Formats: sequence, structure tokens, C-alpha cells
Amino acid sequence: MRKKNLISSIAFLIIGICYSYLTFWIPIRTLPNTPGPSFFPWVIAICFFILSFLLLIKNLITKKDEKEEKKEIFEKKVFVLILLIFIYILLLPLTGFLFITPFFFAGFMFLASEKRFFYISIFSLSITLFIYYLFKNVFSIYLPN
Amino acid sequence: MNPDIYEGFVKSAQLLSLLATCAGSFIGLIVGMIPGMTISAGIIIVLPLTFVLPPSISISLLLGLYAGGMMGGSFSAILLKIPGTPSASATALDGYPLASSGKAHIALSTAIISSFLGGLFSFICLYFIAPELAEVALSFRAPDLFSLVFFGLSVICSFATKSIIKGLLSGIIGLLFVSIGQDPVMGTERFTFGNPDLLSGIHFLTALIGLFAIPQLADNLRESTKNFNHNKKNSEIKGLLPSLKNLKIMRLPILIGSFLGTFIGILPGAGGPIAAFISYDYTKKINKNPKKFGKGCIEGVAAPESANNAVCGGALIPMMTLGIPGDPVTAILIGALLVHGLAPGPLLFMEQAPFAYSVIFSFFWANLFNLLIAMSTLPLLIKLLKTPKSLLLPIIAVLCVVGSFALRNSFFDVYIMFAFGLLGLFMKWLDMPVVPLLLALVLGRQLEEHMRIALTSSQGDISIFFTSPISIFFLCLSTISISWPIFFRRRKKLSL
Repeated sequence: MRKKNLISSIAFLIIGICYSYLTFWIPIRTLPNTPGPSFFPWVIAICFFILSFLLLIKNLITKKDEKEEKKEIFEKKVFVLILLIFIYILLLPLTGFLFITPFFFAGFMFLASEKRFFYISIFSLSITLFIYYLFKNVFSIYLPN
Repeated sequence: MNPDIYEGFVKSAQLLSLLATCAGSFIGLIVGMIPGMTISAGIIIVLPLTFVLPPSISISLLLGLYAGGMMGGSFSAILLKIPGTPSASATALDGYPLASSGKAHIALSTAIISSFLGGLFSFICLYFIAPELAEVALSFRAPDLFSLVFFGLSVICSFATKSIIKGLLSGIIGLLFVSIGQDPVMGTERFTFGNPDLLSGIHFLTALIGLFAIPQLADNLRESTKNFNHNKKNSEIKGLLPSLKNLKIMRLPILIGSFLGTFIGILPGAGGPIAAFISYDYTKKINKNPKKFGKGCIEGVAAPESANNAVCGGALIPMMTLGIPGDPVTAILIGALLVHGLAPGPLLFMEQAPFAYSVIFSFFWANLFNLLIAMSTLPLLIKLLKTPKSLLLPIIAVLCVVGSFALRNSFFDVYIMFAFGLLGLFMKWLDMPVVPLLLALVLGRQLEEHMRIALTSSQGDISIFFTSPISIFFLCLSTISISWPIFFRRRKKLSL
């Protein structure tokens, strides 16, 4: 966890610098003696810097890594899931909901350890159609075609 | 009778509203039962469906889900020893031993009755306290409102259980996102990079869907191969009506749980799990035979169950009257109301009084439907626990994508949802709590607005926040709220 904290606190400091740079360029439009549009972002930037710095210092001081459960967040399955969702939302506006959703659904079912081809094909098609018509006819929300 | 109250009651008792509450309760019971599915995730999935519904109907559905989820969590805690929601953790302590000894029906009926009575008690408190509190809150001026919102945000510390720095950082990241778009006072563009989609800022609900749903999908996917072990003894549930003797035993624990649950629910940040454990502990302490706790006693189920359902009504009090969310679910409910152009706060009781009362009465109906549905369809609900995750997870994923698109008919929102999903996973990797970010997203804009209005009226003099007694009161509360977890942790460390 110490290594993770060190990397992320440095990343936070870099983000803080970028945020402050952008805040600096916010146009000044304000009445005299009153806070302008950049006032609140400056407060955020200062707090962000202080906290990132504290996180960095705290982890630099800590010598040993505390005992922790070994629980991997980004394991292989999760990476495939992220990729699957990314491809799905990228292709959705191009191909339309009815075409791409059954493929996404089938891919996800397979990823979630469902290996029966018959079940995958039946559910991916029927649920896609159900969601499409539910949104279109009941909720009057038109999904991309 | 006050015409607003009457109109609110009629509104909540219309057929469509009742159907929505009933549907919400049913979905809530299922969502609450499924381990790994939180009530927040359930509400997020249903949320897109409510955009097109009138506000009173959509809020009825969501309230049904909220109350139903709290009750549903106890079923899996009793039958599987896996709490469906964190609030049901205390129920498992005595619920599971009761079920294991072949008395699952007694444990379940105790949970159902206690949940209903706990909810009912908090409804009564909500009905009487909320309008009075709203009237007091009407006199608040900009500095008071700033301090109030600041107090709401200070709750962040109680969610940062492992590291206060990380909890505060999570809140600041939320404020950083809030500053994107036009500023709330002058309308100046900030951090939009010339993108018109960012002019109105990042939509709170889009961010929420990504933050909660994608990490939850990832969590469940990792465990999708695990199957729940159903105890055969528990599969057949018969005779859910409690006996008179058992009702007598439940009396006092329910009263303790309801009172503590409602009170803890009003305090922002405490939430269901704390209320359930405190009332369990208190009931155990005052019981003549505390040794029987943990081995399967009715009191050990009744106290936490009445407490966690009473928390719902308690949490609705600051949400409706002050616009301050007490837990993630009430934060989402605020977002749902904002989508319909209704801002929770004291003005809701002034400008939309019938609607405000209809929300209160919908909470009553939600509790009643929970009781009726749970009593009549429990065997069916238990069978639904066996729904394979390989089917459930893709449905949730598609609904999340469709939901974020449906919000403003924009694919930009879908991409934002995905980006927040990655952020949620990153925060989990870093062991950083997500709830502070969520609270900052809900309250950040108000915080800036009230602060700037107050400072404009005082010509930039910050002493304005320390001259009003109301403002001082909330600032003192904020100080306690921030320092309490630090003090508590130090004491804990010293005692170790």
C-alpha cells in the first residue's frame, strides 16, 4: 500500500499543478472586494496540495508496509470487462443499440463463467429486445439505432 | 386538516403512485437480498426509468426500493449468514443461529415485523419533525446556509474509516469536478476546454452511475463463480405469522431499535450499520439474560432490524428539510429530485408542500408494502436468490450505459460515466472511500454559491460566518464532526 500511496500522491501533486495552472487562466470578472470565479478553485487547489503533500510525507515516514489482505482489484477478468465496456460504448453510436448489445451481453455472460451457448444466445437476444422496447414504448426513450 | 397534508396523502395514495411504491418495494427486497448488490446500486439501476415518470411517482418507486432494500438485506443475513446490505450485518449474529436450529421462519418473521415497526416509527417522526424543522430552516441566510452545507460535507471524516487524509482527498476530488462548468454566481466558464457539453458541468447522476456500478460489476465478476450455499433446512419457509408470545418478546427491542435508528438516521454520516450494532448492543446490555445473544435469540434480530429500517425515515428528515444527505442513498435521492427540478430544502415545504407531504406518505406506503410483499411472497423471493450472476451482471451493465445516455440523450454522458467508473476502480485500488466524493458532488455547488453570496454581501469580510448564531452552531458541529473520528481513532490506538 505504501508504494501505491507514494505513486498516487505524486500523481495528485501533478494534477494539482495542472489544476492551479488552469485556475490561473480563469477570466477575472468580479465586483471590487468580492470573491471572483477563480476564488473557489483556488481554495480547492490549496486544500488538494496540502492533502497530497500530507499523504506523501506520511508514506515517506512510514518505513514498513502494514499488513494487508492481498486482494487484487485489477485482475485479468476486470481488465477484459473494462475493455468490453469501452468497445461497447465506442461502437454503440455507430452500430446502434439492437446490433451491438447482444454481442456485448454474450461477451459479458461468457466472462462471468457462463459457457452454455444456447443460454447465452437466448438471453442476450431476448433481454436486448426487452430493454429496447421497454425504453421505447413504456418510457419513450429512443435508444440509438 | 391542513389542505397540503390532505393533498399530499391523496397524491401518494393514487393508483400509479401505489403501484410504483409496490414495485419499488419488490425490487428493493430482491436487491437487498442479493449479497454484493447495495441499495445504492439498485437505485442507480432503476433511476433512468424514473426520468420520464412524474416526480411523485418516481420518488415513490425509489423510496419503496430504499425501505425494501433495508428489509431484504436481513433475509440473506438470516438464511446464508451473508448480509445483503451492510446494515443487516448485526442481524446475522442471531438470525443465522436461529435459522440453523430450524427456526428460520421465526427469525424471518421477526425481521419483517421489526423492520415494519421500525419504519413506521420513523415515519411518525418524519411526519411531525420535518415540517417544523423546515420552518426553522427558512430563516437561514447565506452564511448560515454555507455553514450548514459545510457541516454536511464535514461528515466525510466519518466515512474515512481507514485514512482521514484519503477521505478528505476524495472529498476535494469531488469539489474539483464540481468546479467544472459555469460558475454559479457570474456564469464564467471554468475548465470546459471549449467543450459545450461541459458548460453545464458534469451531471451528478452520470458520475454516480460510473462510480458505484462499474466497481460493483468488477467486484461481482471476480466472485461470479462462487455459489451461495443454501441450507436445506432454510429452503422451505412456512408459517410466517409470529406468535403472541414472540410478539411480546420483540416489544422492547423494537422500541429501542426504532428510537435509536431514527435518531442516528438524523445524524448525517452515521447510517444503518452503526444504528443496528448500537441497538443490538444496548438491547443485549439491558436484557436479563445477555448470554443468550449470539446463540439465536429473537431480541437479537428485532433490535437491529427495527433500527436499520428506522434509519431510513431518520435520514429523510435532514434530506427533505435542509437538503443535506445523511447517507449515499439520500444523496442519490437528492439527485433524483433535482432531475425533476425539485430542490430538497426548506423551500420544498413552502413552494411544493403537497409534494413534500406525498414523499412522507410514500415512505409509509413503502413500509406497508414491504410487510405485505415479504409476508406473502417470501418463498418466491428466496428462490430469486439463486438467479445466476452471469445473467444479472450484463443486465446491470447495459442498464448503466442506457441510463447514463437517457439522462440527457447524450453519448458524452456515457463516456463520462465510463471515466468515473475507472476513477471508482482506481480509488478502490488505492483504498480511498468513494462516499466523500459523492457528498462533495452533491453539496459542492451549494457550498460555493452560499460562500460567495455571503462574502459578496459582507464585502469580502469572513467574520460574517462567525457573527450569526446559527452559522456558529453549524461550524461548531462541523468541528466536532471532523475531530471526533480523529479523537476516536487515537483513543482506539491507545487502548490497543
